[in-house]
Amino acid sequence: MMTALSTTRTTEAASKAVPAPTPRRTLSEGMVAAIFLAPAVIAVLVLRIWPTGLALWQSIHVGSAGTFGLANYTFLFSDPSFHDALSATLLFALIVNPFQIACALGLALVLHRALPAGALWRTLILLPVAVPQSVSAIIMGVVFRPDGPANALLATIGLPAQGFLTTPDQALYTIILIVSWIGVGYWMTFLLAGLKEIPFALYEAAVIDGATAWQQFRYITLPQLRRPLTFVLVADTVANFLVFAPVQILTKGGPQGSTNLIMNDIYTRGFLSGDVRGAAAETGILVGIVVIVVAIQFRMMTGGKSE
Amino acid sequence: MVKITRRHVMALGAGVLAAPLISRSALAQEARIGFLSSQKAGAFDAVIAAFEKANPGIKVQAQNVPFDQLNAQIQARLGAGDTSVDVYTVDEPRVPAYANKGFLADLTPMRAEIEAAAAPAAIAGTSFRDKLWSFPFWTTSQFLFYNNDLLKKAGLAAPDADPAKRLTWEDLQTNARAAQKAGAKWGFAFDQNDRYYELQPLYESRGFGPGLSGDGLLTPALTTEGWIKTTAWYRDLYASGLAPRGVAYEQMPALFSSGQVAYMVAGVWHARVFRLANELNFGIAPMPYFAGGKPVTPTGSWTIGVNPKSAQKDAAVKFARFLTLDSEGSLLASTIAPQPPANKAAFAAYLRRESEAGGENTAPFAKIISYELANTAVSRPRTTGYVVFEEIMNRMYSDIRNGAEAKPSLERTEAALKAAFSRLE
Repeated sequence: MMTALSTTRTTEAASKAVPAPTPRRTLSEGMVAAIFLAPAVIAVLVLRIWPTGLALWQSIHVGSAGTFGLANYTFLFSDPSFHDALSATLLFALIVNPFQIACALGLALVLHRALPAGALWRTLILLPVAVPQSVSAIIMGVVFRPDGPANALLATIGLPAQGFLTTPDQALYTIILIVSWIGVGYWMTFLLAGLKEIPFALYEAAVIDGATAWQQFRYITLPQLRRPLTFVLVADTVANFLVFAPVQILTKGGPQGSTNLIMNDIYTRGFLSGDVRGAAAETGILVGIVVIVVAIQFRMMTGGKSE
Repeated sequence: MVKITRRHVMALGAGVLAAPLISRSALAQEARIGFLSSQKAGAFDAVIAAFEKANPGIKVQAQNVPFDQLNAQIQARLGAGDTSVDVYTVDEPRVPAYANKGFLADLTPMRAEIEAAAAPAAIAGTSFRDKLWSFPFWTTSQFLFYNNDLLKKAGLAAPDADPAKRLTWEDLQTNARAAQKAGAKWGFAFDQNDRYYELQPLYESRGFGPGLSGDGLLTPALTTEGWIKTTAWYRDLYASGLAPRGVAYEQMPALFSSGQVAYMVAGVWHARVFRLANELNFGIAPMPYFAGGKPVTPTGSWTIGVNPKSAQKDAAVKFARFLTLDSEGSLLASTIAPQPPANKAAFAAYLRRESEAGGENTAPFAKIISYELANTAVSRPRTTGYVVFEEIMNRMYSDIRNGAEAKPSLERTEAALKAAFSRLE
């Protein structure tokens, strides 16, 4: 007891005897965090929130006098080009999202196993992500040209040549193939990371209980992957609503409007037709659709937690 | 651990804020103007060099974008108040729309000077509501180019260079088929294969009008019997394999220079590329017309506009004048991209230069252009709706060339045009 007291006293005395250097004024932890976050926050504000706000503001102005009104929105719902763009986008979303997630999950499951040269395969699958979208689009445009390698491949296995991007009934599906080639490897990495997190003991226990491979996938892998799957589903859906570069480079929305996805329609309306307010209103509608779809997805993925 | 003090942050902030000030003071020494066009890089190097030599203290930065992106660039950049474009090329029929949007400086005070230098037809193309909005720069016309070797192989005579004895489309089609049978990869082609500019004469030749009618030319008239019939004729050129599908405008001249096309209707400026091509034995003749109709040829071309928000307006106007009103500058500007200058003195020199440059191949150059511009040239519709009209029409032709049926395409396009016109302010 005594010793303890005396120690305290000595330290106190010592600290009095040797005056500590006046600390330079340092910033609080919160301040440092704010400084580090500032560039990102400013970028989001200036590059995302501000233009979106500006677009929404423009979209509720009508006529050369610029009075308030909803005429830009009511016009869109009567415009055949907007109808076509909306139906093409919804069809595209309905096919491309399940397709990409299924492919990404399948690839992740395959690569999760100890394959010979596993790292090589992972690299090859992830490689398209590292190539800029526009470059990928140009390369794939060459592949799917009527006289390109895709048709040469079909010819070697005795199948007739296809029109791909030049025919209205194949162009959208060709775009789906192209954006999937670009995107699947990226989404796969998230699922692969999720798979590595699942405790092996769960599978061991299941094997002892006599579970089949399908049962293991259905009752262990899928539920354990819920979090990365939710992220991939939401992020992939948003990304696919915003597909623009491949369409602009390869088809410009054609042939016959079959690939006129909503982003391309907004671009055409705003910059080629010069209807900036109509384009702004269409942007507003797109943001609304994305928010609703994402909200539904979140509900679905987090709703069944008690299962 | 490194501690970030307020002093560090302040120093960094001050540095960031000061950087633009330093570069700005360096720039203030000379006027730098941006010149946006859709010509290939280098097309205006000679005229820019001559201008900079005559005007020390002004530097011109050429900005080149593909034709298909020029309109989007102008709408996006000038629409947002961008001042890095001071001078830019404006296609004649786009003048009303851009003037309406406030993208063009009013040049009416310079009318006397412009009228003294430029041809009246070109001045009409730069006027809108009794004001002048851009400098007349170029005009255009078309030739029927033909490959002598491919015609000889098929036993066909070269078409007459006399405008009074021009081919009919009906005869041309028969001849093109024969040439294709005798070995030409393609019998016929339009160089601007899906652009309204080159296809409008098909309708006008038969008297079916430009596709727009009514007050201010803002009522689409595409679903008349004549329009459907003529569009189907155009579609058949491609559906029957006489003309190539899936080749972009930029690649069309190469198809002719490499001897793959027997006949091609193309801009007169392509004569330069063809006479420079190796072992290409070609000739020029007037553009065909439909039997029973009248000869009609496309015209209208680029004009030079000045951005009203330009921070260097004096320098910008100076450069625009050099390109158009100065006969030497005007002739220099049409060397690499040899479109006929609207400047009267330069035009005469240009015709001489281009007729002689190709020897026998281009001998009738001056005669045909002069005849067409005086007698058969029809301008594109001058309306505030032209920009969107052209964008939508060109998309339609692209679809039809790739196989879409004429009638439903015209109906869909008419609906799209009505919707788009209802949005003009």
